[in-house]
Amino acid sequence: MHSRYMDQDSKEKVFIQSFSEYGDAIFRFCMVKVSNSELAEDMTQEVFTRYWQYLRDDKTMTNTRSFLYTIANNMAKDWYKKKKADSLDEKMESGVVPKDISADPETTAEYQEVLGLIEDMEEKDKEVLLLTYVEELAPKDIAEILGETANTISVRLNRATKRLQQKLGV
Amino acid sequence: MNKDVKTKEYLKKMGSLKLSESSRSRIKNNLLAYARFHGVRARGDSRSMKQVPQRTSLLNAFKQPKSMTAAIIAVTLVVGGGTSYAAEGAVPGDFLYTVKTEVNENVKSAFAIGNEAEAKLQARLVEERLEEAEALAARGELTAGASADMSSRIKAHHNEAEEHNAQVEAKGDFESSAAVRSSLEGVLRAHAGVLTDLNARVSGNNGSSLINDIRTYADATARAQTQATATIKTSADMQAMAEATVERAETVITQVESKLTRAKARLSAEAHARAEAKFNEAVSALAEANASLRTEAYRVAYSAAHTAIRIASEAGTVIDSLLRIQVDVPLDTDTILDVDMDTSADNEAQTGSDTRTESTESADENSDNSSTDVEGDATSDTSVDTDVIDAETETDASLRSELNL
Repeated sequence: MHSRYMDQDSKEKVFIQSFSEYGDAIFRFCMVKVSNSELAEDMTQEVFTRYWQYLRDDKTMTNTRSFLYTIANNMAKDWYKKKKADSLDEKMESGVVPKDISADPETTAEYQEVLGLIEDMEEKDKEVLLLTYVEELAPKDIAEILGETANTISVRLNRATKRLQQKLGV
Repeated sequence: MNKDVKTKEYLKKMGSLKLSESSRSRIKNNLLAYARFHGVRARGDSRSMKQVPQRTSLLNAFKQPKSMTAAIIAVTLVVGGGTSYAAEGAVPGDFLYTVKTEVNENVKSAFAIGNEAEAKLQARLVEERLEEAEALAARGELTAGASADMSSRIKAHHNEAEEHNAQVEAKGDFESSAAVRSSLEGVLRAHAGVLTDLNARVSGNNGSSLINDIRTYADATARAQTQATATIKTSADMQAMAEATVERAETVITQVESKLTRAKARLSAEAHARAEAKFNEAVSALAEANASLRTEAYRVAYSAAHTAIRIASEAGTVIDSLLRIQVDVPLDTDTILDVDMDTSADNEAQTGSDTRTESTESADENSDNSSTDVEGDATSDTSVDTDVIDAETETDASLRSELNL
């Protein structure tokens, strides 16, 4: 991996370049996971700080993009667990999780349109649709990120696509 | 139009969701600030004293009515993550220290799910407090009051880590708690040594009680581990745990060796030699562990491997501190190392001595024919979120496992 034994400046460049390249994609992924723009932004930032810890310590990463998605996926899992453990209502009352789930309307009008259509789909279906059709990842890469087999992902994708097509009437 | 193409085009609209320019810019700045504070340590240790935020004129105003805490947190929530990340380098007395401890660390805790992750986080927060104490000491600002405050914070994190360790062990996972303790004990002893020197040379001995407390916490950690190891009753579990721990110790030692090599040019010859001597003690402990594995004295191997990890953590932490604060300090030799290194491969129980290995070896003897009472999970990910222990993550597979904190 290119990060091995680079100095601080070089690593910072790689770090910020990675954010420029993948920041939006990770943000979208987080949005599909948590449906809350503020939380998704915080998660995106946290994903990259964890990435920096690995970059800084010269740890091996063969694929930065997959690595970032993996961190995000694990963070989302943690978030779900925490959400289950604590009452979400309680958190909303205390203001920890903002009730507002909309992001900047100028940038998300189209997203909201799609989201409205797929909102009742399972999160697993939504994420596989996003990663396949928007981020253009192959089933085997998605499988690696989500800790599933490529076959499982292909089956899930096929099912999710058909459901969406029914909704779209195509 | 083909329906698959139509579907794809429709879903592509999701791609319109992007970070807003203001968010992108804010996050980018935060990330850069984070990267610079948590810099590449062994080479150009960017987390040097120069970059620890210095006091501002506002600081005295923050010595500090408690009502200000709520105000700071409120400001942070309004202003956003930039403040939080700028706070990462704060030390007690700094404007943003409350943000660091009351906001940032609570956010980290929100993502630490489960007792193992919570224990790791609390151990990391102990280290964070120790680094802050060193930063204050190096500036000559470690007052008696600051020492007492630090000690109380460290104690709280230490106790919480131990509570979570106990919960982990209650589920039969002794290896995870041991990993946290080995590293934590090494970190505590390393910082005690660094602080001892700074205290005498810079801080006018104001930190003496803090240093004593740190050593007390290190001893308490060691005792907790002794007790935990003694309760493992199944030799089959012991073998698996010993093998896993030896493997981890090898990884940790490899990383500290690399750190030592890279730090050579930046440390004085004497400091480097002392760090190297400490490192060699870890290597000896590992050799002892391997020898014990070969003779199937698994409990001894387990104990020796943890000793290796603890000493390696200590050496690694001292190297980091030396680079960060650029002082030349003796390594703390007041450890239980000598006791642990007495662990012989013949697995003969020692009696009459107040040592950690005494109880573990006795338990080993007693356990060889016992039935399974404890479900040890020796194959679980046992890494600790410190610079030293993280070293084992050299493959994507293990990275994935580790990242599920």
